[in-house]
Amino acid sequence: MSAASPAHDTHHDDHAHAHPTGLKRWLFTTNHKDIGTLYLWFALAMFFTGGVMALLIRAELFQPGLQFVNPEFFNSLTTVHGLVMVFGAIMPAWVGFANWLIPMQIGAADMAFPRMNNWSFWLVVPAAILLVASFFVPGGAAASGWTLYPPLIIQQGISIDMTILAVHILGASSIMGSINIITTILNLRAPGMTLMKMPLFVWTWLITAYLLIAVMPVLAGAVTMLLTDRHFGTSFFNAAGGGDPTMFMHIFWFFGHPEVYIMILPAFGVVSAIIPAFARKPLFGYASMVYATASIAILSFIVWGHHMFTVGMPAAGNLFFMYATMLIAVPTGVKVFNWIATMWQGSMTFETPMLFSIGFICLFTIGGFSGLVLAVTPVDITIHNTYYVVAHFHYVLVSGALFSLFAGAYFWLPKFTGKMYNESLGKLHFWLSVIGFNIAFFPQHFLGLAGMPRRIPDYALQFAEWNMWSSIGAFIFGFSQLLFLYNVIECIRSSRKAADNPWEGADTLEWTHLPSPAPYHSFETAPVVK
Amino acid sequence: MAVPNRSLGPLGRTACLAAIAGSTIAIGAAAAVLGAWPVLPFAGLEVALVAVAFRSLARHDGDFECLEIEGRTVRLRTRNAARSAELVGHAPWARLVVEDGPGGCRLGLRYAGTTVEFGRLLTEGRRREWAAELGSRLPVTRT
Repeated sequence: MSAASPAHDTHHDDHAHAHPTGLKRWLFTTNHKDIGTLYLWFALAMFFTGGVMALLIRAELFQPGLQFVNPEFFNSLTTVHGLVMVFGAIMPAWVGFANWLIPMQIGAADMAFPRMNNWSFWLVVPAAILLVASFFVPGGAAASGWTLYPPLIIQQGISIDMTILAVHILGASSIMGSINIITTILNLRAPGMTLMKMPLFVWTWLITAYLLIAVMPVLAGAVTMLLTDRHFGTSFFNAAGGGDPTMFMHIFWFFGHPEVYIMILPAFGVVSAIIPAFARKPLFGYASMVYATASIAILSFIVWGHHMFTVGMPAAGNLFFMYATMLIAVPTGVKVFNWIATMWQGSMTFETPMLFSIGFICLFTIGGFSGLVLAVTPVDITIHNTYYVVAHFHYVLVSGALFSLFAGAYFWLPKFTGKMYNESLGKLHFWLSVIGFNIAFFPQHFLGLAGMPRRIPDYALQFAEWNMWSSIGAFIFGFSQLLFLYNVIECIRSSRKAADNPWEGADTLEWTHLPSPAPYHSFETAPVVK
Repeated sequence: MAVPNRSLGPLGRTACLAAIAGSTIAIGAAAAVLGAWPVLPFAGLEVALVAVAFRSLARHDGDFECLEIEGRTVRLRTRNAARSAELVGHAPWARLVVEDGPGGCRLGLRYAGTTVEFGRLLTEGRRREWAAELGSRLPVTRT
């Protein structure tokens, strides 16, 4: 007897036939779907935690004067809100999607290193606890902004050490996750699944993982230097000891700008999956989308200086960073035009995932345009550290990353749960989110242009009206997210069975080769991709 | 013959590691030149972690399981990382061992007091199919 059989590498998935239940299942699981679920629920919990902080901020800013919180606590709120949303909500949510989808989309049985995958998740939890618990230590939570700028950060209490430790742990988790994702994508693709046949979500995550690997040591080094400046007498960033606080800004933003793309590239992948499905057309310009994603990633390494035009760089430096930043509009524009071209003359329907994807394109483009405005050095010098910047990055990260997360959640919920969500509730969630979001953040452009600085709990009377509108919008947006939570729970508990492929135009392996819900162990034998 | 599914060969792995190491160390070195030397050890640590991960993949490059029954001779050859095993015997005297436990079905070939496990590269379903097919050609011991 002799038979040739390419099988998945079971030395990595010897867990494959154990199916633990109860608490043990979740603590020790090495199953990519379980770990994906853990990441997604964790991210949702952190999203609501960060959201409560955002609503406290907006409640305080509803009218001039100090209402609810003192200025120190307000600064802690803005700082931890940023850290929690970036490191606790958006990034883990994308890792959750990566865990669920990458193996299924490339025809693999699991991630390449399932145990490391488990560690990656369980590192995130203590880090989040450290971040949130820092509110309850003497001196309160970090109040320096999520950028952790010295010298302010060197002067604060023990909460800074907790924040630094949290960032270190999160970095370790991200690195392990990235190695796992890169190895999985490169090594465990099904026969016939060439790189240029991979779904865009897989491509965007491959590039995102490379970005993470490139920049995480920079962040780790930066916060380590903060720690040694605080406790071991070094003077990396202490001007009194011969150090340079500006160096921290360079180092931080060398990490920080790619970090923005780490949060947004997977969004491009999700939208590139959803729009063809609901336009019932193949994605327009697949290859150009891949190259555009890679171009954006490469450019992200040479634009960090646009965050610090006001620190006093040479004119040549300012010009370089200005033009390099503007250059990013080219590959981003390629993507936006490709999505529109995909929709052009398509047989479109507007289910909730499509609505969120279209919302993403429209609002993310506004964020892109305000980014171009901020890229212009003289303009940026005028509106730096104003609410214009706050409006810009919320248009990029909320209507960009968050909306596409919602789009992805609604799109893949039938595959994850085997049930259909409530479409009417989903649409209501979308419309309330879009309306609330725009009322919250569009006026902040006006506030910024009028000169309102960010990170202040009180402001001049002239800013009162738009701040009131912004707070009203924030509360509409914030509370409408409870609809999402309800819809997800209702979907899981409902009896509305989902078809294996409820979306006509979805054509990736998880839709064409797997039932709904996806079985606990999928693709134990690799499918052959034509 | 069963081999693990792999889409990344040794050359691709080397190229990938070189790309990651090159860019990460270059960034770390540039930071060190500018005075931020603590970035460099973290970069090195990370590259080492990638190298260890790739090394663990490389150890399994040559994994295979090959079972042949020709005439009255049965031959089983397996390789799992650095461990190789070969069993050649007289087919009527060899036994197929099928072990059904809580972890699923495990297969082995026993001959002259030696048992070599096989089917590790197969899924549960395929192992059971093999057990059924081989059972018609070899004596079976179930545990």
